[in-house]
Amino acid sequence: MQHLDEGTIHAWLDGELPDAERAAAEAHMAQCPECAAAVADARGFIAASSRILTALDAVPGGVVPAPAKESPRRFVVSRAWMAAAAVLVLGIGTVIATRPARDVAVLRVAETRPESTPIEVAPTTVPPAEPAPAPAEKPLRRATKRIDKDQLRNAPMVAQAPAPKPAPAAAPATMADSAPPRALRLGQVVVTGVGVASAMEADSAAPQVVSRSFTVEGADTIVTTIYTVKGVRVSLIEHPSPLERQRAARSFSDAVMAKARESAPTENSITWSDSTGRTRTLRGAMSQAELERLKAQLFGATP
Amino acid sequence: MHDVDRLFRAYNEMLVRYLTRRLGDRDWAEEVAQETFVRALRQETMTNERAWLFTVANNLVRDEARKDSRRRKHLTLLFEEERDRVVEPEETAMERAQDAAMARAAVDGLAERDRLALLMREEGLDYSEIASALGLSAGSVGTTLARARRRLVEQYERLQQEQRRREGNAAS
Repeated sequence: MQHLDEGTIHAWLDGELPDAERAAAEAHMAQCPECAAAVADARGFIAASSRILTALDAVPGGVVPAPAKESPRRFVVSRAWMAAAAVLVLGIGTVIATRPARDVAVLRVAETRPESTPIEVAPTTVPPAEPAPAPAEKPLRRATKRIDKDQLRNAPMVAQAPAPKPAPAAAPATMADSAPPRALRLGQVVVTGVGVASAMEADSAAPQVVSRSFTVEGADTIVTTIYTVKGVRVSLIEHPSPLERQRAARSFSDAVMAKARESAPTENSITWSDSTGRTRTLRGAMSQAELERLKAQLFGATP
Repeated sequence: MHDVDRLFRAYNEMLVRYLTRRLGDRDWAEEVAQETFVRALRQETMTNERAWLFTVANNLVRDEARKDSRRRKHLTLLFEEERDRVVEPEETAMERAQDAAMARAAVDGLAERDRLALLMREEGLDYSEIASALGLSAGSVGTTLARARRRLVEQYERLQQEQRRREGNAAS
């Protein structure tokens, strides 16, 4: 038999040599002093490299500087996370849910830039029969800034939507640009309120999660959760410590797993025709059932 | 859908150590590990969860590195500074810092594939998992590891000799 190559010797020492090869290799080693010496060398390399690598473990955090502000890395987390955020063990949910009314008022004036809604309202495939009346359009449009404006203008569903209740005590959208943000600092959690809630969320008294996103900046994973509370949009921005980050990942996973089983985070759509023969499609990262509920909210139970 | 809680408990420590060794920054390592578990939430099926996690972590690091190589350069600079800066402090601390700097330099001197294979093996991944994470054939993992280990040790020893020579020059 040929001498064993170095790879075979390492595989043998790692216990990774297939049975057939192992028997042959062991038989060869037993009678080849050169290969026995090579095995001894390989043992030395394995032990020494392990030892060298352990020297890398005593490394502090924060060695690598945060990346430049203009290019933060952004992870947008799936719908499952958004839904799960409502039941977070981290106390995020309870911060919002248990705030007395006095604090909610504070949250309302704490204004920053408006956030988008993850709900996408698709225009119909049939052109609108009549122009959309402006009054009904306005609140929805203000609330869903990232939806393409033309798309909204052309969407006949807006014309037929029941006029949404204007959000009470909502700060004007222009405040976002002029007023400096006021924030409540709750430990490491910063809470700011934002803009006007969209029409479909305006009625809800319980805090509802609109979206949840991660922004990774250097060593910080900044979690932004958007809620609506009584029609007011509130964003929760968290800067967790490394320890909290680990704990959070555990608690998140519990909550997320529970929620993820209930609703798939994939994008779904429902399409239907109304009495005039117009076709409508509602599309978004929601379950079919949630889309049906949204449809009922927008158009009534029998569109 | 996977039980992410179980995945986290089973693999977080291993993944963070692997990434710390690879990146030289524990915070960054934890961040990448956490993002890896976030990705796991969205993963419907994993044939081999350990290999999957390491593959995703590798990809996250690679994407990040591609985006901002400046950070890596800065890191190298810091290690060099550390090596130069540590002149007078207490003996053992200095030795540890030198060890770490030499280990880092030796590890960084390996080819990317060799380095990753070695670091993954150190976390107990078997050959098929390493092969799957790195896109190698299982048969070539032994050769890859053999080369990685030998080069790591040789480079480290060379750095040690240089260090001793420098110290000798400084003393004389």
